[in-house]
Amino acid sequence: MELLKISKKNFLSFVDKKMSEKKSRIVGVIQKGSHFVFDDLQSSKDLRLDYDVTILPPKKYFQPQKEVMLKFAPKNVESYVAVNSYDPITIFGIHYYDLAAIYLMDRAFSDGDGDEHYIKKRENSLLIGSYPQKHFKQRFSRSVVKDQYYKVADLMLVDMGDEYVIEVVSEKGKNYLKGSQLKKNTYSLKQVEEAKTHIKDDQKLPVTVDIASEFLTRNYYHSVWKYFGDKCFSCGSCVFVCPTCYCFDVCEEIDLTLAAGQRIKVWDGCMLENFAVVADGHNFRRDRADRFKHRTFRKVKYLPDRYRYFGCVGCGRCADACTADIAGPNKVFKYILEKQ
Amino acid sequence: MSDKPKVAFFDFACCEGCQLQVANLEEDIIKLLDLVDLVEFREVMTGSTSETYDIAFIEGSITRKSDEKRLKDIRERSKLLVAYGQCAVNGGINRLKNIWHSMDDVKKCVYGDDSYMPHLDTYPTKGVDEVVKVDLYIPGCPINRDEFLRMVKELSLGKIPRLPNHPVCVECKLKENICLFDKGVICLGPLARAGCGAICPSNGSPCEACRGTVDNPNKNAMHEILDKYNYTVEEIKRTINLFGVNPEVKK
Amino acid sequence: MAETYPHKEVIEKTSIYLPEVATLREKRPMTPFDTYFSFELRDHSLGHRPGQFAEISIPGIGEAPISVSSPPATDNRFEMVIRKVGTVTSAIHSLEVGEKVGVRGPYGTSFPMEALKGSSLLFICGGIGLVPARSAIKYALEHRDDYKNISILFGCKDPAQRLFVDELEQWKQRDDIVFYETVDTTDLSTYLEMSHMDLSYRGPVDEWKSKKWKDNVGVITTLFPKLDYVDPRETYAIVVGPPVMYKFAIMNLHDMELSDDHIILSLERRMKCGVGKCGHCQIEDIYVCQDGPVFYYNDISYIKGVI
Repeated sequence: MELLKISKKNFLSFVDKKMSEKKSRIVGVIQKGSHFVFDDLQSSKDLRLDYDVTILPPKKYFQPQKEVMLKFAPKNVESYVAVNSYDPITIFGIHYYDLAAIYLMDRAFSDGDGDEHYIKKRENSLLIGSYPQKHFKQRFSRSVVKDQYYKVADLMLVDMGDEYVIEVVSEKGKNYLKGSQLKKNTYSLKQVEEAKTHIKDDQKLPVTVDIASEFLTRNYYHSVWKYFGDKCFSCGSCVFVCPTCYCFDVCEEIDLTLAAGQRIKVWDGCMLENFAVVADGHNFRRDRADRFKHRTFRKVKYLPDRYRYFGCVGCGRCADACTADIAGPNKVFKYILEKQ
Repeated sequence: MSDKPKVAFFDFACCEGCQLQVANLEEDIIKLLDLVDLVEFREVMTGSTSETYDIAFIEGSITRKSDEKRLKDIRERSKLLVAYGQCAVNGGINRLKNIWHSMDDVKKCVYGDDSYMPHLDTYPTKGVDEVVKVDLYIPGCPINRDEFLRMVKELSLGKIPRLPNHPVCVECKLKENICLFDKGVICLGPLARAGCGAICPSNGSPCEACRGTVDNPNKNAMHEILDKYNYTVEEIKRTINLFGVNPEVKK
Repeated sequence: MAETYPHKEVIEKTSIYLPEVATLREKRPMTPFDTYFSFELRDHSLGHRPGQFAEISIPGIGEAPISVSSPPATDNRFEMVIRKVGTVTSAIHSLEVGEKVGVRGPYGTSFPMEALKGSSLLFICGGIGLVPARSAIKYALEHRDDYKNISILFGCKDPAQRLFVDELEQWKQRDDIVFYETVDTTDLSTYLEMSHMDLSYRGPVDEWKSKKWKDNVGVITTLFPKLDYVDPRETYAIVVGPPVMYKFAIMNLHDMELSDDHIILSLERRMKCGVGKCGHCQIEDIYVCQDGPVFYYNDISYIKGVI
């Protein structure tokens, strides 16, 4: 992989230049109160590559909270037309664990019958990744993410103090850099590696990824599910902030004239009470404990079984968002180990 | 004109804030009038143009014997009766007076020396469905305009409108708000029924569950959280039941 | 001012969510809440296999997964029996012949009719479970010589809830198959519980109020003793019914020494997207819409709460 470097000052001019070119929508991490979010950049000055974690992951650009799939005139079947809305988009500063999550979503949406609504959005995106520069008390990515993030990133930024080293991952990324004030990398690979990993995680998955699925399966009937289930509000916070949760509901929206309408996808989550309700009212996961267990197993067993990658990227968002303080998958493992 | 549903609005004990939400629909109200035939609505028109209604929207809680008679009469003349606004849904804020043991004490506290006047007579607050059958509920204090419009549209298309059964936290997360618990503020979002777009937390105020709770709120968990924040039992009760949510936990 | 994105909206020609148009050609009530529909696609056959489902939609109302009840066809027609349980199915019920619906599919796995050639078939159908099973039953009867013994057990709540009554009579008359049916009760009061439904069609209710039910009464498992010896090595059971039926049916099949890989069932979940994306129909690591709805029981028996 080619390594280049750029001074931070020149990097910011590069971002400004890209914004003024208006060839794509430019998104980056900006501050929101005491937290950070992905949003459209107004100026390179707003870009905060030193963030700890964002409230929502960047999945919102590829699977919008509300996504129009079809337009129609109500009750007129002939009027169905499928639509998609996207612009070329460049996203600056996606942490490596969120890239790993995008890799997983790519797998899910292109598996079997591919979902063009998602795929087109992804094809029109350019992802510029980075490595955390700040501690986040709930994060345990190092123990669950290997190098799958290189499969989706176009460029990776490595913070070297006054300069960034740029890992050029894809051809698309290389082309994007054309015309910027880049120099040859002068740092040793060891220095770069150190810069990529010097922020250590405060948490870790208490067992290795390889045995996590089997470990959990052995504890399918453990008291941990009821214990955490009893505390769970079923508020869905954990699944909405999760970068690998992509379940959705399908709804109809109708214009007040009743002459036009659209079928939309909206975010949905298996922790919500009505998620597994069928037409006759039967709920296949009625108990909180069952829903809590399903979510954990989906991350640790079901997604890995299907796509061969661990379904949790250790970003820690769920643990942070959970009022009851039970959502971090590592907490389940910890509880089981302590009770043994 | 004749094939449009005849719609009427009525109010009982309330602040009329919910009909104001409807009256304030701005340009949407014009489109709405293409959809329905408005036959009675005190806030925006004088008198009534029909004796029977396809849809009667009822606002406000029931607090007097005479209210019951009037409500039953409306019910008899209406095909579909909708309780809209939390006062109509479960008594709302008005229900707080039911905590007092005697209505005389309530009256004395509110009206002082005039409390004996006959027009101030009152009994413990009832929601509309404690008096007549309610076909559809639109909760909230006040109601959410978008939800109101959605229900009218769905009814017009022959759909049975449903309320969301997920908590306000969902809508709050979608807005990327900073959780109020992170700021040390107690918020009823995890129990409360969504549909408001998390308007209060989005503007820095905690959710008070003005739309009631989801079907199965985990009150136990909320007690645990409030306890962690050193709330007393009285404070817990007061926090939870402002809008008539029963703070008791099912054993 | 932030620019609002996205500004580009394009037509998506290959969307997996875009329905085709089908026209309602025939419609007749079967029970007060189940109606038979025959739909016709414009220029091709649905191309389904027995046991598969399709998503049927009406714009502005919504979409619902519905089992196909006809066997594979060469023409553009396909049949469904739809129970009125929600907004979408109610709207489909109110369609008139000549009106149109959206169709996506067929989706999911099917009864392995090819693989079962040369075997004996034992169908166990409860209530509306007869709808997907019928596609396999009719297929088997159309290819009667391909299979050894064919036995069909059908049970429903009461006489007025029987589906495909004409066909049930025909099956009863045939001497190349075994057919037994039963009702849980002859009391028609279930209808009163369902009185929130539109009972404008009361046909079978009125019919059975004056007629007397002379066949079996009792749950479906009471039919098992009537069967002659079932050879567990050459018999495959196809079980479709309400959730509560599976447990007892499987217990009985185990008593008959049928192994789990000789038991085939069709499961119902909330198959919202039909294409393995939305997550609603997931049970453990299985997406019912893709890995099912038809399963060999030995592939799913490890899953707690699956039936």
